[in-house]
This record gives sequence, structure tokens and C-alpha cells, in this order.
Amino acid sequence: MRKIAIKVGSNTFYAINKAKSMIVFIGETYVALCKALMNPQKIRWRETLFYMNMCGFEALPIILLICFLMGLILGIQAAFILSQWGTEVFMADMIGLVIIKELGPLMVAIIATGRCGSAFAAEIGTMKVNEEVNALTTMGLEPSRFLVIPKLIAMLITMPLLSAFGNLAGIVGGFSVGFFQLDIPAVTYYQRTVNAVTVMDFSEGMIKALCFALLITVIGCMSGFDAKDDAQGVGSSTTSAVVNGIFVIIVCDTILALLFNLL
Amino acid sequence: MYEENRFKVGLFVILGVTLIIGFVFFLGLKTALEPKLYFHTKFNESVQGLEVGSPVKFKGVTIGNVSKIMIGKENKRIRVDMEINPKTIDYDPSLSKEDHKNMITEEISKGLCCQLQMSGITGMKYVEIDYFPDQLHTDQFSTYDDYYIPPGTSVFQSTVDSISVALDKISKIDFDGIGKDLQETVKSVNKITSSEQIKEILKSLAETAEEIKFITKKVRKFTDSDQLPNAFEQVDKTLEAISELSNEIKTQVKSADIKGVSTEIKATLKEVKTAGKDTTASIDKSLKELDKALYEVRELAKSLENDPSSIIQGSQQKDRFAN
Repeated sequence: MRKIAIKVGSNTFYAINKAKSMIVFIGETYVALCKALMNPQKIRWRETLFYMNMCGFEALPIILLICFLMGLILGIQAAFILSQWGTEVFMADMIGLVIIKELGPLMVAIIATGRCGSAFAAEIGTMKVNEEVNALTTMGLEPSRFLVIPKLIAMLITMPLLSAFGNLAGIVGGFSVGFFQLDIPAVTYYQRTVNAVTVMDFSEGMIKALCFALLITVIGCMSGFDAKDDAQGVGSSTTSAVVNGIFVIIVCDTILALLFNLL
Repeated sequence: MYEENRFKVGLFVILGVTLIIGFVFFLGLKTALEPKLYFHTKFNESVQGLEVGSPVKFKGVTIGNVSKIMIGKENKRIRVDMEINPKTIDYDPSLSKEDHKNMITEEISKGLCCQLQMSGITGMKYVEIDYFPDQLHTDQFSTYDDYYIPPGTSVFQSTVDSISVALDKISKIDFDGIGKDLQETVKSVNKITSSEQIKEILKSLAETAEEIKFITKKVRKFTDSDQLPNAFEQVDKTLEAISELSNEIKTQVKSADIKGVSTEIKATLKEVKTAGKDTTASIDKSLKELDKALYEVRELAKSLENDPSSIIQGSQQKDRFAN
């Protein structure tokens, strides 16, 4: 019993410290971002483009495929239930809203965590093992500005774009079920989607995508900086970047959904 | 170390931005940029289920949506503002606002008004604009930019009204009195049913039913037996004979000189009548004479009864009187 209490206490203490250090890291990154935006010439644009390519363009096929399949699955399940009531046409409304408000940005964020968050953690962790981070500090370069800002800018640009692609793929997935299985005319499906989904819903998804971009970058980079100075440390930092990233993204999505419902 | 592919990144960004703009445009900006007509109405009834963005329909065709719902300052009616897409109502932009206002006033005089309608089982409502000539309105609240369409009572509200009227009527019914009357009726019915007479009637009814059953059985037996075809044959034969007879009568009637016969009969009847009259007169006379004769016979009988010897000796009385 005592051991359990100690375990729970130490884990709670670890989680609180982690949250605290994350808030500190977000603050540092925010300050660094403000400085970088005030002096755009100091931003490492080449690295930024590299990360945009890596996290955006290269992630596009898998995101399109996953989101298309999500729309397809949703469509099949919705068709099964809605056809019992003769309300198949409302599938367009449901898929449009669910994909654009929730699943599009969420799925993209989960994939981005797996692809980019882990990559950021591994990269910075390796640099830490090779003492490159220490070298940067010794040379008077701020590691957060030097290493984090290009990644953050790249993610902030690519995540909304990827979410838009994901939204389109998801809607197409739902449409393919509606059109081929339920014989809903394409014009009807389009009209219902356009009537059901508003600009506010789309904006909600985009705001979520921006928040997720910030969280993925921060958690990925922070896990890299927290990595132990050995090969195993890099591996565990990569794992924790993905696990913590997905967890925090879902928590953040819940909070944002509640907030948007209140507004 | 960092090998960026600028073409790929550029393509990705351009496509992504285009997609975002496309989403924004088709999901709202397109309609936001279109010109709109503004109408409003003021409902007296509850607008529960109507929300900003709810559709506005004309005879079932969506022509716009609700843009604002607020409680009006005057008489606390619910003001509902509506944005109408001019493309859906064949709007003529060449006409002045005054002309449009006159046009709408004319339509209102024909019965155009707004009605709240249920849009399904979810309780959501929409505004239906249609002609309801039985709900003519005279109130005018139109401003220069905002046209007023009067409200009509919704189907739901009219149903609620009629239900409340029905309930009101029901509440006025004297159920206690009806109950007492019913009790009395039941008592009297019980009395009647328990009386000896009814029992006898029921008994005889049961007997009659038994008899009917018996007769039915017999009839069924008869109809099922082989005698029925023979009976039908006999009936057919009889009918044939009757028809032959009727034909004969017809031919005889046709061949006979009915006119001559009838005049003869008439003449005969006249003669009979005059003869009858004469005969009646002579009969009357004879009867009178007979009556007289009978009287005399009666008198004779009486005198003989009093004095039987008078038939030999003649009447003594005359003498007595003479003495």
C-alpha cells in the first residue's frame, strides 16, 4: 500500500514537473518566435523549407489516404444506421461536420505526431548526445531559436494546409459511400455539405490545427532536449514525444471542442 | 544536411492555400458576398425551435435564412429578421425600392404572411412564407430598407388553440350530472331486465331462435336435396303456362272490339240504371202496400186473439159500442 502511494506520488510529481517544464518551454518558444518575427532575416528559412517539405509535402499521401479511409468508414457506419430511418441524405451533413470540425484536424495531428514529433525528438536528442546543443549554447546561439523556431514555423504553416487536404479527402471518402452505395446524387451531396458546414466550423478546424502544430512541435522538441545522453535516451525521448503528443493533442481537442461549444 | 525541395514545398503551399480559400468561399463567403433582401416579421406566438440560420422557405423552396431573433420593444412580440437571396425570388433590381414595397404590400393584401413550421421530429422550426387568405393582416411596419411581412398563426399554434378550446368545452360538461343520469338509467335497465315479462320475452325469443334454427336446417336440407331441381323445373313449367295464358289473353283482348263492347256496356248500364230507378219506385210502392197489409193482418190477428168467435159470429165489439 505504501509502495503504491509512493508510486502514485512520484508519478504525480513527475507529471506536474513535466507540465511545468512544458509551460516554461512554451514560454521560451513564444519569446523566441516573437523575436524571430520581429527580425525575420534571422529566421533560418532554409531549414524551415526543409521541415515544410518533410512534414507537409511528404506527409501528404499518407494523410490523404488515412482521411479518405476515415470518411469512408464514417460513411459506411452512418449509412448503416441512417438507412434504417430513411435519412441517408443526412450522411452528407454528418460527415461534413465531423470531418471538418473534428476528425480532419485530429487525424492529421496524430499522423504529424508520429511523423514529425518523433523526428524532432530524435533529431534534437541525437544533437544532445553529440553535444551539439551544448556547442550552440557555448557559441552564444540560443538553441530554442536556432532549433525550434524553423520547426515551429514549418508546422504552423503546414498543419492547416494538411488539415484542409485531410478535410477534402474525408469528405470525398464519405461522398464515395453516399454516391456509390446510397445513390445520393453528387449535387445533392454537395448542397447538403455546403448547407451543413459553415465558415465558422471550418475556422474551428483550422484553429485546432494551429494549436496542434504548436503542441506537436513543443512536445517533440522538448522530448529531444530532455533526452538522456545515450542512444537509449534518444529512443525513449522519441517514444515519449509520440505518446505524450497524442495524449496532449486529444486533451487539447476536448478542451477546444468544449470552448467552441460555449462560444 | 538540410536539402529542401522548393518546388515541392511551393506546390504544396499553393495547393493548400487554394484549398483553404475554396473551403472558405464555398462554405460561406460566396453567400456572404451576394446581395440580399431584408425582411422581418413579428410573431405573437413562441418561436421555440427557430434559430439564427434557420431556413426561410416560400412554398417549400429555401429562399433565405433567419439572420436575427429579438424581442420587440412594442408589445413584446418576437421580431425575426430574414435575409432573402434575390436570385431565388426573381428579383427585378431595375425597380425602385418604393415599387418593391408597393408590390409586397399588394401581395400581403392577397394573404402573404409568415408562418412557423416544424422541420421534422427534432422540434426545429423554419419560417414558411406563403399565401393564407384567411389570415389577412393590416399592420404595416416596413421601413425603407426592411420589408415587413405579417405573421400568420402556425399550424402548431392553431392546433394548440383548437385543443385548448376543446378542453375548455370538455371542462364545461357536467360529468357529475351525466354520471347520476347514467346510474339512474342503469338502475331502471336493471329493473326492466329483471322483470318477469322480459324473462318471458327472452324465453320466447330463445324458442323462436330454436325454431329458426330448425327451419334453417330444413331449408338447408331441402336446398341440398335432389328435390330442388325438380321443384325449379315445375316452377319453370308453371311460369311457361302462365306466360302462354297471358299471351292468349293478350291476343283475345287485341282481337275483341273493346270500343264497341264498351259503348254497348255503357248503353246497357244506362238502361239498367233507368230500369233500376223504375223498379226501385215500384218496389217502394209494393213495400208500402205490403206494410199496410201486414198492419191489417196484425190487427186482425189481435182481434181474433181477443175474440176468436168473431170469425163466425162477426165483431161484437161494434155492437157493444153500439149499446
